[in-house]
Amino acid sequence: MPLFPSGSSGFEAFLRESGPALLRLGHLLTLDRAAAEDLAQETYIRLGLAWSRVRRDGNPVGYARRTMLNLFLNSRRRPPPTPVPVVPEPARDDPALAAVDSAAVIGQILAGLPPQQRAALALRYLDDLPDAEIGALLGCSPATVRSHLSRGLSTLRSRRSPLETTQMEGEPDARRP
Amino acid sequence: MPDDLDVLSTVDAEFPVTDEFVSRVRRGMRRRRAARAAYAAGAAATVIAVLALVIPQLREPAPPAPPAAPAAPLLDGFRIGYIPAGLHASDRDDSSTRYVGENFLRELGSMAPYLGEPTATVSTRYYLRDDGGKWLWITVLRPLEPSNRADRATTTRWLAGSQTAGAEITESFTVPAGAAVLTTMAGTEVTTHDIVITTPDGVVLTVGANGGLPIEELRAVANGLS
Repeated sequence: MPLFPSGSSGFEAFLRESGPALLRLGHLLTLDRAAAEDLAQETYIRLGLAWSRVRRDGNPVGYARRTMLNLFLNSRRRPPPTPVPVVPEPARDDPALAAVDSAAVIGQILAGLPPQQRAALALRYLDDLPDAEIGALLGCSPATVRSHLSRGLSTLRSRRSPLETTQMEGEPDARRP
Repeated sequence: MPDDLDVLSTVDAEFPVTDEFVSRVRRGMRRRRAARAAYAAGAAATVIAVLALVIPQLREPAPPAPPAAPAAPLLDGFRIGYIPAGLHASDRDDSSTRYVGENFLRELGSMAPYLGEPTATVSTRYYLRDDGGKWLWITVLRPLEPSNRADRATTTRWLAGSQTAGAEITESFTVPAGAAVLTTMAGTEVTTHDIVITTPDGVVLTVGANGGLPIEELRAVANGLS
């Protein structure tokens, strides 16, 4: 297997080590496996081209996160490819698929969040980063991060409840004779 | 908040870093580097091409080489090193011998010479414009044998005096050929200047011009005499 270009010493090891976490972040941002891989691939290509400088700076993970977030947020400034703010067909008629439906519901609610809110939630969920660090990655103040988190969670709660309630209404009622 | 965030676990997923993914990154980096190199080479080639086109135009056009002055014959032994552009020497020089009085010249044969009056050769070259107008003239006044009335130094002084007579000496300076004075003859319409040079061996040179020749050109001609 051909090696990475010259000047990329240690880059492959870093890629293999940090890849899973970055792919998870990519997945939470894009909510799509293929899109997450594309996002991570572009992130690593840019990282690899600047590897000697990134390694010298001493924080390649932070650089990779920031690159991925910038790519994601910049791509979201273009017309969104799949704007799905609401669930078109809640799967309330099939209780057996409740778990799958739940993931679909959350995914679609997340897809309806503004990108900054979704990114803030993902960073807090995955790495439990403090507000200041999330703000540094997103290019906003800690107060703005708190606002993103609060609004994102609020949206999640408000949209989840009616859907789950609807789903539960479709399930067999154990109290009924 | 952590409990609320746990809901994201429903969409969270682990992905292994596959060899295929690593390979894609590797290929992407190689392609990107090749593209960058090609872009840099193209940009460099463009810059070089632009510079190659622009720089020659920015350069001052080389001044036309001064027309090779024809090997002008010496004027009574003096070399004339500079002549203003647009002027050319007349076909032949004037040359004569004159009696030298105190600050004047007389033609031989016009009057009987004074007792012991010295003489001098007077050689003049005119420089003309294409329309035939005389714009510049250079004269060499060389004392001949000294007489018992005037030694060589006196003859030289009289020769110089004959060239400055009637004019105001407005400046004295040195040129390669000797000591020079600038004379000014102010007329009602035109003011003219001459430069009279006395060489160390007693020869007098005069550079004269009409009022149309700038005084700087006159100085340049005087400086070119040797």
